Amino acid sequence: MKKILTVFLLLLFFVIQLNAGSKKTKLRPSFFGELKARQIGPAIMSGRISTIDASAKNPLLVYVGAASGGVWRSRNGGTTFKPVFDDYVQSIGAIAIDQNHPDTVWVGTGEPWTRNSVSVGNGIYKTTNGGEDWNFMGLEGTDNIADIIINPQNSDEVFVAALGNIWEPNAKRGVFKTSDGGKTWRKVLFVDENTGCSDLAIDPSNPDIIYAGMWDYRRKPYTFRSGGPGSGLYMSEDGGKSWKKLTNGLPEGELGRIAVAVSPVNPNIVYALIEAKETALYRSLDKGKTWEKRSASSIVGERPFYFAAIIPDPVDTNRFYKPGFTLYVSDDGGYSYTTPFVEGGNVHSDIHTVWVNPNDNRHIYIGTDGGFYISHDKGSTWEHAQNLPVSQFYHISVDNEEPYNVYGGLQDNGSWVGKSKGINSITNCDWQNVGYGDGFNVLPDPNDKNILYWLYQGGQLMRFYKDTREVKEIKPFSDDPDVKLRFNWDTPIHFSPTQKGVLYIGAQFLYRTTDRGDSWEKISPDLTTNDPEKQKQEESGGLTIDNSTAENHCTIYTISESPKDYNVIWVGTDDGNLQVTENGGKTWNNVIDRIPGLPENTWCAKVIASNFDKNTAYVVFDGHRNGDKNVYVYKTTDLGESWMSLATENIEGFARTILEDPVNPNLLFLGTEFGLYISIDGGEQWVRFKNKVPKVPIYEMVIHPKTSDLVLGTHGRGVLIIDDISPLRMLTEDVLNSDVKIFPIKPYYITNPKFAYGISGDQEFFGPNPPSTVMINYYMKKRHIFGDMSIEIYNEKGELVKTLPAGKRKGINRVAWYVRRKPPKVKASAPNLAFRTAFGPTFPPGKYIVKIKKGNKEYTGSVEIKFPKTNRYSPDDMKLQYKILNKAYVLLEDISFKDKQITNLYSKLKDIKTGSGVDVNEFMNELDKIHKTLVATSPYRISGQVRLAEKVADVYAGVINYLGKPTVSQMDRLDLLQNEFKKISARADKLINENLDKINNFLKSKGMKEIKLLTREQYDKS
Amino acid sequence: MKAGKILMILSLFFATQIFAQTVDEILQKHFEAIGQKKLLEKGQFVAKGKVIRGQMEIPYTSYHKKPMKFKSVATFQGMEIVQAFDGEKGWSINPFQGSTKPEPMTEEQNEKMKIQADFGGLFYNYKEKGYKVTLLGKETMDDVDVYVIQLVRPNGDDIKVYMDADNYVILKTKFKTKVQGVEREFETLLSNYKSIDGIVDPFDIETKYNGNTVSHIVIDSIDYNVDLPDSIFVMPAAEPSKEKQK
Repeated sequence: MKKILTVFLLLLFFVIQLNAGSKKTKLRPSFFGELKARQIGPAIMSGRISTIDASAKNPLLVYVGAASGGVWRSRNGGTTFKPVFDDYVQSIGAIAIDQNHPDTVWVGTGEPWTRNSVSVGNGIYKTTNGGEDWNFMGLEGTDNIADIIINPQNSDEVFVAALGNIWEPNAKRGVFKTSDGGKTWRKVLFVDENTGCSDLAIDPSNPDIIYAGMWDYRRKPYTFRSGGPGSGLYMSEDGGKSWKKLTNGLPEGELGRIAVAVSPVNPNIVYALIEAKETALYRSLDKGKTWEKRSASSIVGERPFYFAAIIPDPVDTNRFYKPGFTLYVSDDGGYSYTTPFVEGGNVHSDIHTVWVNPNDNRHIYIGTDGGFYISHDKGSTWEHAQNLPVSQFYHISVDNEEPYNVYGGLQDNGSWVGKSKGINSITNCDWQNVGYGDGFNVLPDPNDKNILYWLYQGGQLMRFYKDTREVKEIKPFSDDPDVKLRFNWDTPIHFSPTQKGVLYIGAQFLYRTTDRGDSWEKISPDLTTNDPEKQKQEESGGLTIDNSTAENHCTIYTISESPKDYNVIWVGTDDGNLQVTENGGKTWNNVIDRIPGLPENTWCAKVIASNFDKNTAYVVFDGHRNGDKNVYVYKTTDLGESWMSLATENIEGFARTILEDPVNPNLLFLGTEFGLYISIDGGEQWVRFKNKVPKVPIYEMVIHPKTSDLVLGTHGRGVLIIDDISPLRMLTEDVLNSDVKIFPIKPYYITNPKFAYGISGDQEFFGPNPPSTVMINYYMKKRHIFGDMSIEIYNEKGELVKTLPAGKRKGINRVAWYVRRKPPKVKASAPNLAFRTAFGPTFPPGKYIVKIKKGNKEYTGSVEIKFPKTNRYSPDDMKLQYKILNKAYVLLEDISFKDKQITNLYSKLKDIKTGSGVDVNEFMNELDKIHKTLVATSPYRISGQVRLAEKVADVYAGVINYLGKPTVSQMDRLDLLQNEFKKISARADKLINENLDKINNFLKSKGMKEIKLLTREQYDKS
Repeated sequence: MKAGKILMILSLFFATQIFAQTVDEILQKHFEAIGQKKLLEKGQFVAKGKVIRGQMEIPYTSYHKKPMKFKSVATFQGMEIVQAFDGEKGWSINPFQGSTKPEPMTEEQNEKMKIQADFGGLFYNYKEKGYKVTLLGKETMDDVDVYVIQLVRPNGDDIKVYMDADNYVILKTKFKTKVQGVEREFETLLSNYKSIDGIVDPFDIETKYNGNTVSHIVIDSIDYNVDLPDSIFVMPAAEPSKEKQK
C-alpha cells in the first residue's frame, strides 16, 4: 500500500510539473460558447439519399438516411424533417425501424453506394426513444453497412450486411448477427477479405431463412473493380448458423454486386439481381432452390455498384421496383420493365432506395441523388421534399456583394449560387442554378459581375454569362497529339490573389490564362508521377465497365498562388506530389520527400500559401482512398524545405482541407471527414467546433473578407455559416483568463424590417439570416450562476436607454440589442391602432456605452449607431425622418394619455350621485364624446373606425418604414393633427375643470373621497 | 503501466462514490441549497419582473401560495393578461385572444398550470405526486459538472434537469411535452440565483426552442412577507365586458 502511495505521489508531482511547464490554457470546446453555425441550404435540389425506412403502422413516421448528411426524421410523411443524428457520423448506409416497437430504430453507418466520393461510417447505432438518443452498438471498422434486417418475430435478433472498407482488404465485413439486441455480435457469414455483403433478405413466414448477396469488389484512387471469386448468393435456413451458396439456374463464373428480395405476399418467390458478364434478373418460385433468368436487359444491368436493389410490391407478386438511372418497375415478374411515371415522373435521376407502404401500395417514398420524393399514386406522380439540406458541395467561394453570395458545385446537382442573407430568411428561391453535370469549383470573375466560371466532371471548364445564361467552353487542350490531358474528376481552378483576373487550371500540367480562358499558357511540366499503371481508366469497373472520369488519376488536385508573391505557386497532385515554383512556373521543386511521416502516393487534398509570408504554406493529405485514415496536416516556413506536422491525437477522421485566418496567423481551421476543428495557437492544439456543425465532411472553407464570416462548404449538409468569427482572433491567453472581456462591437447601420412573401407552406426550407442588429460579443472564463448579471446601454448623455439580460455561459457570449425604442404606448383594445404602431423608432445615431454588470463589477465597451450608407437620401433627410417620426410618437402617447385620463375619470364618475350641481350624466356623456373622437372604440381590427389616434398612427406607420425624407403631405398632416389634438385636449380640460371641482367640493362636504385625475406620471408608470 | 493501473483504480473508486449518491440524496442537498424549508414555512410570495419576447417587454407580477395556487398578471399596452390556478383548475384572461372575460383552461393547459402552480417545486414530494424521478448520470455542461435527473409526469411530460453538482442549483431543464398531441421540446436556462430571506431563486429564466430564445423572464423582486387571500386565485364570475357596459 505504501508503495502504491509513493508511486501515486510521484505521478501527481510529475503531472504538476508538467502543468507548471506549460502556462498555456488548454483549448476546450466550451470556449466557442454561443458562436454557432447557421444552415443556409441549399435544399431546393437536396442531395443523395442512400436509405429510407418508415413505420408500417404509421407511414407518416419516416426516417431518411443521407449519403453524407445524417438521419432525418419526419412525423408527418415528409412535410417537415428534423435531423436526429448530428452528433454522429453523417454517412448513412441502412436504417431499420423495429416494426413491432417503432421507437426502436437501427442506423448502420457508411453509405453502400460505392462511388468515388463515398463517405465512411463507423459502425451501428440504435435508439429506443424515436431518435432522441442513440447508443453505439458496435461493428466498428465495418465502414459501410448496406442493410439491416430485424427478425419480425424477435426484435433482439438483427442481421447486418457489412460491405466493409471499400478501399482496402480486411476481415471486418460479411454478415453479422446479434441475438441480444446488439450487445454482442457474431460474424455469421464471411467469404474473404475482399468480399462484403451487399444485400440481405429475410423470409417473413420463416425468419430462420435468410438470403445474402455477397460482393467481391475494390475501389482504388485510380480504378474500380466490381466482381471476383468471392461474390455469390447465399442462403441460410437456420437463422444464420450455416449457409449454402445458391447456384441452380444462376450464372457461372465471377459475379459482381448482388441484390436479393423476398416477396412479402408469397415468400416462395425470391428475386435476385446478379451482376455478371451478362448481368440479369433472376426469379425463384421455390425459396431459392431453382432460379430462372427473367431478363438481361440493359435496364437491369445499369451501374450495379450504384443501383443494385429490388423492392417487391406488397400486393402483386409480379410487381417490383428496380432503382437505376431512373425508377423502373416490372409488372410481369421481371420479364419487362417500364417506369411507373404515367402522368409525371419529374424526379432526379439515380434512384437508390424505394419504400412502398405495405398497407397501401399507392404510397411510395424514394431516395435519389437529388433527394427524397413522395408518390401517392403508385409512382405516377411525385412530390419533392425540398426541405432536406443534404447537398454535397465539392467546393465553395464567395463574392464581395452586400450581402455576399456563396457559390459552389454539388455531386450530381450542378453549380449554384445562393445568398448569405435573404429578405427575412434564406429560402429555396434564394438559390439559383448556374451549371449542369456534377458541380465543383464555381468562381465569380473578379472583374466582371456578369461572369462566373464553373466546371463539370473531368475538367470541363465553362465561362458562364449570368444575364443570358450562355456558356462558353474554355478548357485548355493538349498541344501534343500524343499527349492526352488528364483532368481530375474534381479539377482545380484558382484565381490569382495578386493579379486580378489571372486564372489557373490543373491537368497534369498547370495552365494559366490572362484572357478569361480564351488562351492558356502551360507553365509546368507534368507535375504528377505519371504512373502508366494508374491511367487505365478505360478498363475500370470490373464486370461492368464504368469510366465516368471519376477514376481519372495522376492529375493536379489543388493549386495555391502566394498572396505575397505572384511567382510562388503551390501545386498538390492526387498521386502524392507536392510541387512549388518560385519563378512563376519556370522551374518546379517537388518537396514531397521532405514531409515526415507521410506514406508514398498519398492524395494531396489541399495546399494553401500563407496570407502573411511567402515562404509559409499549409498542406493536407488524405490517404483514405489507400485505406489510410490518418490525419496529415503540415506547415512549412521555408518554402517546403522542411515541414512540421500539425496533426494531434484528438482529431477524428482524416483531414480534407485547411484554412488560415487572413488576420490572425495563429487562427487555423481544419475540415475533416468528421467535422470542423479550430486552432487558436497555430496548430498546436485543435478542438472540434460542434455548435450546429454536425460530424459532416468539410470540403472547403472561406472567410469572408468584409464580414469575417466563416463559410463552410460541406459534403452532405450544404453551406453552413458561422457569422463573424472575429472574437476567435482575439482569444489570447489574457482573454481566456479574464472574468469578462468585451470584444470590439461592430458599428450598427440603422435598418428597417423588410416585407417578404412567406406562406408557401411548412415544407419550404428556410435558413436563418445573420442578425441585423447590434451584437455584443464577450468572453467569460466561467459560467455565471449566482448574483445579478445584466447588460446596460447608455447614450452619450449618460442616460440608461436599455437593460438586456446577459448571456451567462462560459466562452464567447453573443447578446443581441435590437436598436429600437419601445413602441408608442397606445390603447391596446384598439387593435388597428396597436397593429400600426407595433414598432418603436430606432435609437438615434451616436455612440452608446455598453456596460456588462456582473455582481458589483462593471465591464465597459461601446458601439456606434449610424445612418445607413446610401445615396438614396442625405443625412439631413434621415434626420428629418427621425424628427417627424418622433413627433408622431410623442403625439400618439399624448393622445393615449389624454384618452386614458378621460376614461379613467368616466369610470370613477359612475357611482357619483347628483347633488353637486353638476349633471353627472351629461358630464359623462360629454367625456364619452371626446373619448370617441380620440380613439376607435370597436374591438375589431377592420371596423373602419378612424379617430384622431388612428389618423396619427397612419402617419407614424407611413413614416417609419422609409428612412429618407417623409412626404410633404405626411408632415402637413401631422401638423394638422397636432393642432386638432390641442383643440380637443383644451376642450376636455375645460370640461373637466368646470365640473370636477364642483363634484369634488360636494364629495368633500359629504366626507367622501375626492376624485383624482390620472396624472401623466401615473400613466407613464402603468 | 503500474501507475496507470493505480490511477484507473483510483478513478474507479471516485466513480463508484459518485454513483453511490442516490437521487434522493441529491435532491435533499438541492432542497438545502435553495432553502426549501424556509420556502415552505413562508408559504407564499409575490414576484415582480418582466417577460422579454423578441423586442417586446411585458411587465408582470406573479402570486404564489402553498400548496398549489398561482396567478400571474402581465400588463401589455395597458391591458392585463391573467393566468391563474386555484389549486384545482386554471383560468385566464387574455384580451389578445379576443376576450376580456375570464375563461376556464383546457385539460391540457391545466396540466401545464399544475407545474407552474406547484409551490414546493416539481421535486418536492414527487412520489406522492406520482412523478417518476431517475438519476441519469453525471456529465459536464460547458465545463460545469452537472447531475442529470429525469422527471416523468403521469401525463407523459418528460423533464430533464441539469443540476450543478457543486452548488445543487438547477442550471438547465429540457422539457418535452405534447401540445395538441404534437411533441415539443423546450430548453430553459436558469441563472442570476439570489438569496432572499434564505430562499434561493433564479432571477433570470431563458427559454429556448430549437436553440433560439423564445422568452426571457427577468425577475426584479420577490417578496415572501405577504398575505395573499385565497380569493385572488379563484376565477371571477363572468361579467359583461366594459365596452358593453358603456
